[in-house]
Amino acid sequence: MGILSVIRQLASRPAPLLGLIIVSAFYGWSIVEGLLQLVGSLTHNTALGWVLLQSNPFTPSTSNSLLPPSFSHLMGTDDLGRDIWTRVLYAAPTDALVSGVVVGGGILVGSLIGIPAGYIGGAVEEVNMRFTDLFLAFPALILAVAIEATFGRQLIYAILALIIVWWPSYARLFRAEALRIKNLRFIDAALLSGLPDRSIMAKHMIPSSLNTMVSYATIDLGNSILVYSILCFLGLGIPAPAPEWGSMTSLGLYYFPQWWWYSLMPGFVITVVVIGAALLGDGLRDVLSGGA
Amino acid sequence: MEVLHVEGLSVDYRTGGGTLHALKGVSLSIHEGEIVGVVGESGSGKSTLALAVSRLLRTPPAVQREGSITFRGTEISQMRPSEIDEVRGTGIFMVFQDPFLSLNPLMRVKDQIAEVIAVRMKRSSAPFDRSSAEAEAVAHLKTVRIGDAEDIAERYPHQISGGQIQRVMLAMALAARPQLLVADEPTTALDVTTQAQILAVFKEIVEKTKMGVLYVTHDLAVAGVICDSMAVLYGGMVQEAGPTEKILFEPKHPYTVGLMDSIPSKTKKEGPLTAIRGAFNPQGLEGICSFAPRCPLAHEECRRGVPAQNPVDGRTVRCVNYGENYEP
Repeated sequence: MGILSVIRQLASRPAPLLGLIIVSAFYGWSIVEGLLQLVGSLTHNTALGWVLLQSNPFTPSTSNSLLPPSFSHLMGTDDLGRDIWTRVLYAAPTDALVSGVVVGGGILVGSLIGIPAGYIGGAVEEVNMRFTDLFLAFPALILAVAIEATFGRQLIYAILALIIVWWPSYARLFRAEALRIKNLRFIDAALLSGLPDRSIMAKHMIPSSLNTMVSYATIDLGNSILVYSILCFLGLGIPAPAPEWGSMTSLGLYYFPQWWWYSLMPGFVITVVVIGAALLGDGLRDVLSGGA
Repeated sequence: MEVLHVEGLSVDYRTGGGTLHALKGVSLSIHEGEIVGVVGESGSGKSTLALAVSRLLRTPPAVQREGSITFRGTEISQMRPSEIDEVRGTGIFMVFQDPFLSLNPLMRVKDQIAEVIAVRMKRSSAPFDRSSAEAEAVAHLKTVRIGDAEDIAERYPHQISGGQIQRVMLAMALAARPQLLVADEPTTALDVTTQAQILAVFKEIVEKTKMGVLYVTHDLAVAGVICDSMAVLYGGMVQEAGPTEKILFEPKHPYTVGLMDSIPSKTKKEGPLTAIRGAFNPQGLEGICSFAPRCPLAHEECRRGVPAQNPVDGRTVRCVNYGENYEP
């Protein structure tokens, strides 16, 4: 089944279509804006980061502080008079990067732990899965907070912390998939071809289990943004003045409820992206599990 | 040269519900270029034998209780997994009964054949070159008479038919150049015309490559076409074994006789078909002839012990009617 036919099937129903639009708009925008920011910072021309935006997301403008949503300020302005929608757009690439790297890292580590556990079994399975349980036993958020608080407030540590709390669920999923796939005849055929276990896991088991991972990972993209935003909300994300959805929501709380838009608008954007990813992931599951 | 020698092989399936003796002291041997058929009904242990020889039995629940499996003079039944990997492919290859999951659904046909070629090249320390391996894959597909081999090579398994998949498996066997090919009912899932074509290709390949073949089937007609010698398996024991023509045309063991009688003739109407009465039941067969409960000729002596193999007219027969000898 080609990618085009998957997209066509997703687009044929309203909920997955909505999810597809939200998720592609979010990542599409993030790639463009992220590249601009990257090139801007590499060439010491940070202004490149906001050429596509309505205004500079960092420059305060006290005369415009705390204006309600209007046509000139779609989501209103914050206490320093900066346009919230502009800052939300400027912050998008960070969240896109975090979600992609965290879910990708979770899949990578999870497959390395889970596939051998399911395929080889025995002692390997016991060791790998009890190790996984050890990480699952901690409340994820508290573990992430502890890791970040120990190492410091930097994006890289936030991502590492999230990967550390993220991989155990993938390890379990990959183990379950490995248990299912290892009993299929083509694995016997691969064994008979004289392939060593290592190649069988890499070339036959991992590709075959990715089908199941795709829909789960898509839903997870939203979840990882949510957890990252919570970290930022708690003041553990990237430091000010760089905008971030979670920290904007958190800062806005000081102005709640009178200047409600400051907190609610970034929170609303988080909600939309998370729901979008969930709708798309759900739709993907239906399409990929052969419902069509 | 003897490629495979199985001696006194016994395999049990041990589950929470109890122990099932799937094979009880099976012995057979296969030489280069020889096709040995193992014939039996469902539950006779024939697939267990095929899986045991290629070391694909799931352990647990399967346990090899006793006996040995020797491949070209080396005992393989006790080998560790890393050692058995070295024997597989270029040593032992297997074609399965059900074509539909024998190939990885995510890999193109040519890639799966090339994978086998890569293993073979690595073992002979020959340089592996992707494009020449793909060319070789196409050549093998032509050998097994796949029309449009170049096109089929580019396809995924779900895009080709079951008969084509079995041919692809045979092409893989050709690519691996094994010394022993284990075939577990490779034509059962196919229609009769395809079956005949594949059998013809099979025979041709064996004549050309001189590989030994363990051919497992429940179909006596297929066995008659393809096998040089055969072993009739019932209740996990070889009941009668010898050259194909002896067994098919002058069966001695009451079970083999019953099997032959229950094949419908394609040329004449012969009235009601005779069938062997009852059904195989593994319970209560300890220390007696396994076929005794269903045998039309059964008498007291059949329950006195497990009959030993008697040499009769160029084959062996495990029946007291040919000599009252029992297994110790």
